Amino acid sequence: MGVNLGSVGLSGVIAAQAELQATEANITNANNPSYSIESADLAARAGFGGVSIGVDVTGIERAEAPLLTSAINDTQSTESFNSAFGRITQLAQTYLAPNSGRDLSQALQDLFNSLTNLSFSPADPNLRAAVLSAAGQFATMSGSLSGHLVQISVEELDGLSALVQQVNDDSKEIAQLNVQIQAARGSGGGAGALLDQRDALVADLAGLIGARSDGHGNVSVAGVPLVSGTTALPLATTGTGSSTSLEVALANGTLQLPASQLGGTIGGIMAAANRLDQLNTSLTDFVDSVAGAINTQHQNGFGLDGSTGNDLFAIPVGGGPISLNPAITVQNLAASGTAAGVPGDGTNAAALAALAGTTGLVSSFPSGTPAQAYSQIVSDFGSSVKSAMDEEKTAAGSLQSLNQLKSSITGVSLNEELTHLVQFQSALEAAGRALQVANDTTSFLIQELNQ
Amino acid sequence: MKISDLAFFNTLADSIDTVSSNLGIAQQQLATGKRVLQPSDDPAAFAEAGLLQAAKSASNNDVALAAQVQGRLNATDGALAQAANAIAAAMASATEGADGTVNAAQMATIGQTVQGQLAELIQSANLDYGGIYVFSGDQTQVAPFSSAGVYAGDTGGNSAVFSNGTSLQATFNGQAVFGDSTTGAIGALQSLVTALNAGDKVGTAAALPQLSAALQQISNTRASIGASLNIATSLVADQNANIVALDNNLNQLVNADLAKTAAAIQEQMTQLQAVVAFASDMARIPLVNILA
Repeated sequence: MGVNLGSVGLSGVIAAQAELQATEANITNANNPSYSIESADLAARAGFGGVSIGVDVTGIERAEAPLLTSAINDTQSTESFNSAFGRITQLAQTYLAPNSGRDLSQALQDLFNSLTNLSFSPADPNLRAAVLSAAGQFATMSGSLSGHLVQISVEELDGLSALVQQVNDDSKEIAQLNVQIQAARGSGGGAGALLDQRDALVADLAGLIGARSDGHGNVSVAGVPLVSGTTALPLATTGTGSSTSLEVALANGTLQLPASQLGGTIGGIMAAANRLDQLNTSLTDFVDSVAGAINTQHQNGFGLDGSTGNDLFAIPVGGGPISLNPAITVQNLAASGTAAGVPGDGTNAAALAALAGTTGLVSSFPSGTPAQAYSQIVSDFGSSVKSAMDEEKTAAGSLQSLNQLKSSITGVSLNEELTHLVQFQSALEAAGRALQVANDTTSFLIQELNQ
Repeated sequence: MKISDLAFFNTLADSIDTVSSNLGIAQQQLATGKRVLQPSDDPAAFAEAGLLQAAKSASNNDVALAAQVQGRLNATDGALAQAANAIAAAMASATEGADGTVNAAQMATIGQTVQGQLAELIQSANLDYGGIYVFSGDQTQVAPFSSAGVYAGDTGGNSAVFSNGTSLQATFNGQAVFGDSTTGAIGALQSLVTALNAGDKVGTAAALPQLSAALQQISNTRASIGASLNIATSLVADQNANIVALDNNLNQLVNADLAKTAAAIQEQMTQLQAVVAFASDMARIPLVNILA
């Protein structure tokens, strides 16, 4: 039985080099969050009779944890969703509850206080002016609050186009990587670096929109494909403002993505815009209901000039902020309950002030006073914000744990790799020495044979 | 379980971020003295605080309004006291004039005195408090009585209505209180003047029971105003107590426990220092340092 000593030693050198190369790649990618450690797969080379005559490098193995990767992406989607939702709604909160402490509820109470005072001295021009001022401030504040909520929502939705572009860019890159991975695998390669890049892009899409991958390069969101094999399907925004939606262009048409099923930052933004819309609707209902009730009572009263049937507030039909009725003056503000009672009768002012304690003015809060109705609106919104903040915190904690678990499988430990470095360096030196011995032996034999 | 370097340092960074974030929250509570600044800090507490603030605002307004009402009612009572004095003086004049020893000329002199007392009465009835004629009913911008005692007001009367529903009358039907040129106190004084000027002893004597009835009417009105003043005083006391209670509730709901917050800050600082020190120590341990 003849054995090529050189080839045995050479196989060891090649194997040690492959191990060293994988170790060096691991070390240099120690801080690359999307890197999965690689190692050389070795197999003993079988000779005549099954005897080992060296070692073969059968491939470069990439560590994988597909279940953990999927769980991490889903959790990242949740964290990004709640982060975006929380950020936007916290901003809205600063208008709902300003640091000054003077909110819409306080402005309304000021109006009721001014009417209480007017009931005592209905002919006093200063007290009349105070009522008009308080009514004007209530109207202005409610319009300003509504305007801010709409502005926040519109600005965030307008910013979606940039995020959608990121989604499309990622999708295209994944589709291209799918081509490259197919080619690499077809030629017998491991495609580890390409797979790392693809995983990173899928993770980015998860954080952007809550996308999921099947592990083979196909990516979808809410069941709608974004990447199908080597084809990227473009995502686009349609509509503006509160009617903004997303759709994917398929081969034979477009498919709308239901906003309620989106995750990630984009899902969070759309959910927050929807929540702000709901808040605005509730506040508009509150303001219009209270202003309407005040108008009804005001119409029953009489001004100093004897006029009656006037509204205190102008409430636009079909929506829009209320305003102080420009036709109302200190003279025709209706404090008196009867024409004959002008100017000293303040019963209508008293009746207007009494609306503060009247339940059911706001139709969506039939058993609450105006203050209680407003409190409930604010509390509900605050709960939404708190819930998002808590869920973001929980998701962040879960992400930490999941990433730690995953990194125990796919991450780089410098201590471990440095140990491998020493190990494989020794193996290389030993294999090199064995090769040297084999060469020396061969040379000796040749020399002897030639004599 | 292997801990990758990236995961290790990410965890350290996250720990520092978490502790720093908690420190920031505690510091904000210490700086503002508030635990609840935004609805999301504690939605239920924030909403309840809003209701308490509205109630406190209403109570504060009631206290201020009550002071104004008390001022007007005190002035009204003062005017009624002056009116009562004028009527009492007129009753003394009538008694003197009806005396059989007084002659017609002397009665005419007494009649002039009573004319002056009538003028005093009408002046009291025309009380103007802060631009409001208190005894004109609802016609508060018109003086209730002419010098001849003709009533120009109406039968109305306005009340101050407080946020807790308490109602205190603040303007009055002057005719019901003082009568007019032919009725009540003014009418009785007019009749007395006429009788005295005419030397009519029967007429003079007849004015006495009328004046007595008028004095009773004034007294009744003063009693009613006195009761209103007592109610106003009680309302002020009740609302002030209410404000204190509301403030206490508000403090419990939204204020930070400063001692607890300061302790939390100390704890967070210690934790932060420990994490940073650990990170620093761990940086010296890696194998690459040993191998070097």
